[in-house]
Amino acid sequence: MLSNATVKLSEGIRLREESWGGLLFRQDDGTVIDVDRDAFALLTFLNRKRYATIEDLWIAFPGKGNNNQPPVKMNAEITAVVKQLIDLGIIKVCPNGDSSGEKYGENAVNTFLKPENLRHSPSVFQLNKETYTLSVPETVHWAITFKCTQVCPDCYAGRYRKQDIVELDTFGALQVVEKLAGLGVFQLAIGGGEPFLRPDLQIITQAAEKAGLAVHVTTGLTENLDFELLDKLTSSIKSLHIGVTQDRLISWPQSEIEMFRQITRAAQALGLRVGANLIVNNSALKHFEQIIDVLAEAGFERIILLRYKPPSDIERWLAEKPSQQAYLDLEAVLRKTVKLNPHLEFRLDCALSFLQRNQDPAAALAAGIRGCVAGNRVMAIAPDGAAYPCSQLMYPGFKAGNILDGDFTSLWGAELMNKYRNFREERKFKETKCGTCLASRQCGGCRVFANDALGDDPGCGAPLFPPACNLGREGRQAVLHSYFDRCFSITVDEYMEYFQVGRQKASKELRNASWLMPGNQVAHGRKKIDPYIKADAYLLEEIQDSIGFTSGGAPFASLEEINEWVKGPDLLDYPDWLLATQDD
Amino acid sequence: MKIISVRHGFASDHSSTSYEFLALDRPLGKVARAAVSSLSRRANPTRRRVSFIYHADGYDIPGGWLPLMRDYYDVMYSESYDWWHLALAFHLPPERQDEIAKYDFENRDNLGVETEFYEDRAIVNIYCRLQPFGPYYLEDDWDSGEDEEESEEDDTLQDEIIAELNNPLLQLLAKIRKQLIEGDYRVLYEVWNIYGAPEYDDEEDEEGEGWPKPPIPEEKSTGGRVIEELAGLLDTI
Repeated sequence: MLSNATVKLSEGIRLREESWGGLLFRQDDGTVIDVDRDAFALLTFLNRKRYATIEDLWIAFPGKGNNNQPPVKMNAEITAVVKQLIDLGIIKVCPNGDSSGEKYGENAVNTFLKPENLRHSPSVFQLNKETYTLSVPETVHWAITFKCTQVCPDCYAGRYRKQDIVELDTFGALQVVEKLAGLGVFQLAIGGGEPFLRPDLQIITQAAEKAGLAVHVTTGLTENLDFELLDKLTSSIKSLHIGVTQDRLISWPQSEIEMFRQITRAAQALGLRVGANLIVNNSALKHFEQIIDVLAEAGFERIILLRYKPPSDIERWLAEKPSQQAYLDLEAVLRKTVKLNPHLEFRLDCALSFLQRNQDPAAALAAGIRGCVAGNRVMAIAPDGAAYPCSQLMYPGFKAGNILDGDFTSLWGAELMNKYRNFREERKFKETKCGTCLASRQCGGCRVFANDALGDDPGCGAPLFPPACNLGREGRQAVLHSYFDRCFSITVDEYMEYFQVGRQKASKELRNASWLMPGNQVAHGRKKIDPYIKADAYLLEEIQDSIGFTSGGAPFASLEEINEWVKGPDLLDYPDWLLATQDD
Repeated sequence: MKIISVRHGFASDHSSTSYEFLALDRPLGKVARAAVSSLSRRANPTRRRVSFIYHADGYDIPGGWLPLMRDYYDVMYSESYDWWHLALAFHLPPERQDEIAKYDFENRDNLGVETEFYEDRAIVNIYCRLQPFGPYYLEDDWDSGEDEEESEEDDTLQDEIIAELNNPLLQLLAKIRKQLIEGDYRVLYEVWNIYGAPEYDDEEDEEGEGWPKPPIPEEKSTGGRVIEELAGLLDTI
């Protein structure tokens, strides 16, 4: 009987309290679990008491009563949560006889938590609001250096080298480690540039590991990897990730397999998990299944698919940036690939979260799939200690402060961090396609591609709009933009039919849409129809007029054709903020 | 008291496998619930329902879903990597088993219908893809009575159970099951129309022989909405 079993916290579990409950972190495998306040109180209790039977927990947490009513017992809830936590390796059942420590018996007085001290746990709905944020990031991405000897065409770090950044020395780096560990950060992902170029890498990882951080290192130095250093790092890092180059995997698969095999075998012999970071650009998509086969043969255990982010070379971006359709095709290929490679672990970076948009939102929340978590679950640090909401946004305009300056609260609470952390709550975001999409909580789109952090992510070609009749005003505006991707005009009647709203509302909303304007009135029998067109559409009509019409009245050029001509060079979603930095 | 989310550090997060079971004919007694519960510590069965969800690759119900449908539950749906499995179990005398088995087929994407028999219990499996978020758009209006015939007295209790389900997909499956019990196989024919028929002619051309085409069921004036709802839900690749 589980109720008689004695349980205790497993070794290597870190607990961190948050306003809405708390986080549990398994240091051995990196699992992060969010629990509500009551469950967190139970674990804190167990941690203090060292061990207890389930019956002890029932006594300690007798339940909550309302308006002087006797408390409703929580026994079933406690048992269910304890069962799940045993499954997850957070709690373990003590074998018979293992009961060293203070016994929490039936007659013990519960001084730790009384029913009135238990705060009401927020509902899942409430958790989706602004309050579901962390007091400290869960993971910090640290570009420990921007230096690199490789010339990888798609590396985004190339953009940062133009900035005049002074790397922290060893002392400064160790201060960063101490600060992060002291704050309660769980994981430190060290990357670059090329971290293996830092001669003090081992000192830093060892200090981080000793301070309780789970350390992961990403390298791109595959041809000249320092195996001796790798050997020394092993004791202080949890996993090694290797940035692979698609072009080489495609052109010289056999030599790549042999080279990677050396690394994966060496790392695995040292007890390290090895993953491949694959940037999903057009070349990779074209040969996706072939590349996965090569990586599997090379002995990788995990493949992390990274969305193609804008490199400094715009020409390269134009050639390699996948279209919306290419991403939609990837969804189908990925499903098949996952099924065919059960031994491989596939992960998507948060910028590809839209590939998971079809998941049931409750299941996504339960699996910890949250889409963009910039400035909340993650924070990025540059080689000089400057802190940013995301590793893709390391530009002066996105700097929230320096991790080594002042207190962390003001850095973490900086307006810029809040902007990225809470973008889903902003009205401007809610008026976008991403904000209207049913999957906005588990995706939200990548903010690197969004204008002013609150715009649309142009990568997703199939946002999940609720039925048009269920949309609110903001949702209708967002969907109306999509409507104009396909259609040239909309009438009040069409708006009424499409969104199932009355004439008054339809007329008002069309009038108030500043990007629309009334088009030429069209007579339809006795009825006159007032179509609305995009404000810039008149320009197209004027051009069409100037080109002229056939004797039968047909235009020589359609409005769609003219639109293509006048749009100018299409930079295929190269983010505006990044373009501005290029101009600088 | 609850666990809000579990993000596995080194496990696949591409998708999850989930199951939802419902008992319509007989609620599960204490012994049956203990048996279900013993299958997995994740299971917390009530008298009518049990759910399982697995977030990591390679984890599944020990022993699979089949014993649960064979012995305890009447309706199930399961989703894994966007592939759906709908299952309906009911009493079917051996003399009627050949008739329903005529609707079995499997297309090139492994979508279709498969019926299994365990003495006088039939389990009809529909392997399919559902429209993104389709199940959440289903209307929760079992009582609409749009074209339902008057229920038998025995059915009333089941109708009440179904109406209280608060799960439109389970409600729809329960309605489909009711039709199948009554010998109305139009739903299965509709699944054929969507997944089987488009490939039927091709198969015939290539192989010289196709799957046996299922018999066209008799038209009825009632139950059309159930078929429409399922047809609207099914997605193709």
